[in-house]
Amino acid sequence: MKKIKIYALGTVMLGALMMSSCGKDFLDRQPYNARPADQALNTEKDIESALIGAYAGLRDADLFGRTLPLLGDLMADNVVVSNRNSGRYIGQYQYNFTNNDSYFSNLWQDGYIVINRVNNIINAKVSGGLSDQYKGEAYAIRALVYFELVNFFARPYTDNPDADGVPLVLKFDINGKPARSSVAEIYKQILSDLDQASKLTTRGTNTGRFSPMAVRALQAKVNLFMGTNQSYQEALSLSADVIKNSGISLLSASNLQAYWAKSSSERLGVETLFEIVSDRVDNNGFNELSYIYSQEGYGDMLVNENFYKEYRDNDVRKSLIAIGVRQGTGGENPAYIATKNADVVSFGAKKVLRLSECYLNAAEAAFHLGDETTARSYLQTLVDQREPGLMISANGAALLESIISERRKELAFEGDRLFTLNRLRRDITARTSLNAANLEYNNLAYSDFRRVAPIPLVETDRNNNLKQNPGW
Amino acid sequence: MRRLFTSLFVILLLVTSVSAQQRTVTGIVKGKDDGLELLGVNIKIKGSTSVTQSGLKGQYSIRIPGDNAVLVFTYIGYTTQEVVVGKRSVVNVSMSPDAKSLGEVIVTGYGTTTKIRQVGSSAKVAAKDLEQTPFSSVDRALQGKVAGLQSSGASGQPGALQQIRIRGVGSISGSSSPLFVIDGVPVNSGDLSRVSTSSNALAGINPNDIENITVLKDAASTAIYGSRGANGVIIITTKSGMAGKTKLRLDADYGIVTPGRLNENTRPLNTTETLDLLGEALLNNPSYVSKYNLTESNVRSFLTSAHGFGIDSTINTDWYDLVTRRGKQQQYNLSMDGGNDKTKFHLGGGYFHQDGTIPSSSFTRYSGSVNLSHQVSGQFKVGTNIMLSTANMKGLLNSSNYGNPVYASFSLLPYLAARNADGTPNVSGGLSQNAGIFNPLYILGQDKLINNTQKALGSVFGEYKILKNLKLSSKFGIDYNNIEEDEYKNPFYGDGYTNGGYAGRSYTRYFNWVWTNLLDYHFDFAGDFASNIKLGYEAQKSQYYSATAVVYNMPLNTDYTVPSNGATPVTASGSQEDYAFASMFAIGDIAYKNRYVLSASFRRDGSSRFGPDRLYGNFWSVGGSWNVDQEEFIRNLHFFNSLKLRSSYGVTGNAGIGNAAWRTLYGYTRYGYNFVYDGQIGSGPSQYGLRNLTWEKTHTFDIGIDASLLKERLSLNIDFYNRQSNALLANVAVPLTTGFSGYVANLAGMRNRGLELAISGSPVKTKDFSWDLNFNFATNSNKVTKLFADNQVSSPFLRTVGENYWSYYLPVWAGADPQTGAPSWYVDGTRQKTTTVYSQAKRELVGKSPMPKGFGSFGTSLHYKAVSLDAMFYYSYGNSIFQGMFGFQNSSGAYYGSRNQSKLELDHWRKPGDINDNPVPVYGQGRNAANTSTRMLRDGDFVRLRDITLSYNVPAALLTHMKLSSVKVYARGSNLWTWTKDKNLPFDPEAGSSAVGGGTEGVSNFDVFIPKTFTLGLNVSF
Repeated sequence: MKKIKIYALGTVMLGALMMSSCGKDFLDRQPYNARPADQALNTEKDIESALIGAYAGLRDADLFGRTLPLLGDLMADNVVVSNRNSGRYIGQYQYNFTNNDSYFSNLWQDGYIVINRVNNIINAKVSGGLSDQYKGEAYAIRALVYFELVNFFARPYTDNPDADGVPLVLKFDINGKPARSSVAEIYKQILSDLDQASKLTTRGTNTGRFSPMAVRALQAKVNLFMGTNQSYQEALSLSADVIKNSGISLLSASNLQAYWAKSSSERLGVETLFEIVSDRVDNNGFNELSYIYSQEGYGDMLVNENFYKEYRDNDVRKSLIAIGVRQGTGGENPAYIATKNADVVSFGAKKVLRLSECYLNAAEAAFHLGDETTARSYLQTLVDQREPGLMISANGAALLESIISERRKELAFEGDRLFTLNRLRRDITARTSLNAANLEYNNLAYSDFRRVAPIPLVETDRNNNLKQNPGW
Repeated sequence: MRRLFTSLFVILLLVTSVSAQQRTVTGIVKGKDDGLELLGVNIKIKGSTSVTQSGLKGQYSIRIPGDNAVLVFTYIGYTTQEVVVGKRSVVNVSMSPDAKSLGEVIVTGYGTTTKIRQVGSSAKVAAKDLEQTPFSSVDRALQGKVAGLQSSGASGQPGALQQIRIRGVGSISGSSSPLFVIDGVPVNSGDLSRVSTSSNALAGINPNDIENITVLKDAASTAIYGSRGANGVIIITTKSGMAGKTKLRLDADYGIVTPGRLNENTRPLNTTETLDLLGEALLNNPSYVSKYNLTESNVRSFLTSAHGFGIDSTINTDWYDLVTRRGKQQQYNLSMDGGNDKTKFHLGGGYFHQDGTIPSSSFTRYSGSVNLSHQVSGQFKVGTNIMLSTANMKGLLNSSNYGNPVYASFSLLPYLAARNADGTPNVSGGLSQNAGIFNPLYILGQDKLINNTQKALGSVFGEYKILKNLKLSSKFGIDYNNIEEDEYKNPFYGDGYTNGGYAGRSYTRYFNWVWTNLLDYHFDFAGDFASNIKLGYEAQKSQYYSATAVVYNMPLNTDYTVPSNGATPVTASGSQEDYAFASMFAIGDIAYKNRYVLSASFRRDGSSRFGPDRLYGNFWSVGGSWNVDQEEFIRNLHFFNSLKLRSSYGVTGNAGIGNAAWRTLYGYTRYGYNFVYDGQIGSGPSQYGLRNLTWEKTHTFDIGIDASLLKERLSLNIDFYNRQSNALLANVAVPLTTGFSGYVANLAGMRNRGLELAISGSPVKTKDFSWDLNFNFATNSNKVTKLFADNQVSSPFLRTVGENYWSYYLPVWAGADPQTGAPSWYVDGTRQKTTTVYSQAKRELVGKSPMPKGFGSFGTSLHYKAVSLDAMFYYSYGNSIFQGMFGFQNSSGAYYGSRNQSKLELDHWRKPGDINDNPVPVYGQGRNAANTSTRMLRDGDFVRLRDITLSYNVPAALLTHMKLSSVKVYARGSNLWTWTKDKNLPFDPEAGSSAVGGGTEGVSNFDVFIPKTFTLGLNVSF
């Protein structure tokens, strides 16, 4: 009898034992929407996934989704904030932002989030197949993000390459408290990453991803920004290569309107080398770039009247600025409304690299190298499709002004202007058409410390190795 | 596991047999209660030293000197019996359990014990305090019932979450809620919904199905729940059947629900008052005065003329009145009990409905329960407990949502017409789509927020008595919550307008199973020692499953409201999450002569929530009690009926930390991090976690006294406790260059310390009349002992080591400047100098906190013949409520003409020399008067008549021929009267005593008004 009881007991306990013996497994409840990080980058497909995730990061509203393409114009002299506004980017417009500004801290944070994503791809122990292609794209993304960060948070390379740049993080380290590397070191890394990218990236058919030609275009741009004799040579030859060999055609005058109205990404063919895709399903919603320009959205951002007047009447690009009325008490009339990014339903892609820019880069590089003929020729090819009939005949300083002016008009509302003025070490003037006497922020000398964004307070609080920019 | 077998063998070896003698008496000792043989009964011959003990089958044999011998049978927990042997050679004895020596049965973790063996600190709430209350969930009914248990709900929405905190708040980012164990099954509790403003998993349980609730407070009682014991444990035992005649019982009540409290001092203004105030404020604004040549005599016509403000002074809308209502409350419960020696059953069925105090807010529950047990043989028993319910909750938005009717009732201007001439809600002019706050009448009529929750809670169990004193039991339980939520916003007006209408549907399921195996052994030895040991193994897994669909562009009517009707799908998501626990535990005690009791418990918990480096945690407690009343010197005093000193110390854990917080992850997600790009899903780092992330740990010390004296007319419990919580989860901020902003680590600490007191007494006790009183009181003081970074501002609080975690940190309001009437603040904590520039006022720790210093209840119960009057008052003191929304209603001019103001604004500074808290109003210029400062702090002290019941038992004589065993009629009121210390506290004091996050953050949030209820009820037993 006792035996039976012990059996009974044993059976139940055995049941319990069997359940517990799978202990470790039983207690390993994996999440359904995420995988352990140490198992996330083991195959070619994993690398591809991670790369998609890195591109997705670029779309964030605080990167290419809105802040990057906006601030280059707003903080320069192309765009103003309407009297009637939603309160966004007022600090950047009026140059009274603080070191606690959320747009800059988000830009910083989101930039390094993408850098971490691509670092993991680059450092993953996977090779062969398409993984090299993917790693190449990851290198290009890293170069792009460091390029944007160093543009915002440091003086230009043309100022002092040994000045503080941004922290250089190439490998994930949760305890890392990196100091700032010099601007030169950052550029060196960007160029080295782009070299890797151009070696590894061998294919590319879609404008939403880095193709070999997009990598070259970025290389050219970075070299142009460095402003040395050698880099101008690089910029010229790389730009020439893209223009000649990419198989991509320059956006023509007749297609201009249609090109900017189109919102979906496409295969490489006309004009676009690289863009960041937002679509109807995946987008930043109210925080999309178009929402802050379109009068169907916030519509806060209007074109600086002074800038609008720069466009001559037969410039087809003038048609990309609508003249309307800003609704509401005190709203501007007339209001100059940029329509390059105006779709608030499907949102559309944000252009990062276009063939037109390659012409501008080539022209400017050639000019700095003293080859004005080549410079005029590149500029003329572009101008033919923008302001038909205009002949480029200037030389010397006037030629440079033409190049810079065309650059401003061509790349308006894409975030370029501030950085062109920075690298050329120019003052920003006539930022608004308002009564200048009252407006402390109407002009901003090159030497003004606010031309460089502050290292975010949230970051200096966490990392005492970081030196703040002068003045902040 | 192996350890378990070893222990089992040791136990078996302890069992010994008995030898025989000549002129021997033999027999079997059984228990009168269950007829089972008793092992280890002490059998002694009176007047001799000859002693033996009963064996495994209760058998004994003893040599006696002669026929006159008297055998004395003693057994712990049973009445001692003396038997004269006479001529008999076989003496079988049935011993009766001794209710008195044992005291009442005390529910503990994984079993019961007796009052005398009790070591831990716990409190019991009986069925009569839970039945037929006008509360939608049982946790609401717990308010005031247990010293040290704080039960508060921010919302009067029936079915909304109630926060329960036992002995303070013990966690920062983890859960501070106690573990709920229902019929042995640890359940998922809290708000499991995803769309509803607030919901409560416990609202699916019919309080009438509950036999009793035991609240375990100290380590000696909660450590057996290991990593889930740190916040206390609430054990709910449901009703089970009793052998005998089948009994049928019907409970019915019906009543009304009205808004609990509108403070006349802070009510919204009417049109006349608004015009007066606006006129005054305009005259104080020089630019309006000069622009429109305003004077005291023409300002009124300026306000009402079309050229001025165009206010129609003939309209006076009382928005508060329009959005509140008198609702219905009703519940019907039917139960049946019965059975025989072998099979017992309890059946219950219930219907509960309560309207919210706002139209379209309500809660309805249908429930049923079955408890069955069957004695298969002397050794083997099986049974099941099942509770099923379906609940429907209709809710509202809260906070400053434009679609929140409560917010609207305080904010909409009285001169806006609520309805058009044809009776339809007015949605033009100041109530048009883009004007701001929506007309609540339209929203209440068209938009929906519905939660349907089906709940199943059930278990099957078997118990096998291997030996009289060794029992093996196994229980498999499930806890199932199925939550369906629908949200609809009409396309014409309100929140749905911009999307052309909105329909969302979300499905959430929690399925939780638990398997518990328990070995329970008790034995007595050496005559004076008694011991009980339980060993157990438990495995649990909970699975969360969800799906969501949202569409825009709904049909242009309000009849078709499901997502299938929509044109534009915008959200489609679904996910899952699991957690698991595997545990082994042991609990044991040993008592000497019922005087001294030592107890110890141990539990080893493994959980999927813990990192692999700390996968298993050990939790333990030790405790002791001294039943002083058993000592001769106390007995001789004839003063105490019982007197017990007890103390315990132990380590418990809090595993309420997030299911995957320790993991370092790469996500494939669209929500949270969106890794989708150009139509493809990507992946990326989504979380950094520590492999050693683990439970939060609380060391609890408790010392207490339980006493009963004056022939049990007075009883008293006192407890002092100290809870030191360490390894609390806190966010470690890392440089953003890492790609992360931080991760959680076990690093913070806080301490809760307090005193609990419960007294009950019966000053009068005669045949016809009795009067009982009870009182309980608890204090708690909280102190931060460790933080990741000290002095962190989390407005309106400052987190500092050495201070209460919830310490208000605010600029100190100085009222209207006596000279200018401008708002002023003290420059610093010295309160010497004031400033009218807000930015010059330094923030100070003002020594106030939303956590009450003390709270409790007092109750009285009068019985005269068949009539009873019961009342319970709940009180709480020493907390401050932060009225975050104060600024809109008390804006000193800033929101005049756009938000209605509170009546407080009428009394303000008027001329130099005036001392007034309220600044002079200037139209359009608040001058920061409404910025965060101590002006928004209100004393939260209150006393409330929580419950009052008058009942009448129809005399039995009248019932017998009707075949009824009892009939009771009663009238019951809840929250009928409230006193607040602060006469200007605008909202219900309870509404500000609870909130999301840490649990008690003291911010009121425009939730549904907490109701008063009045019900009439009938209870009939057949």
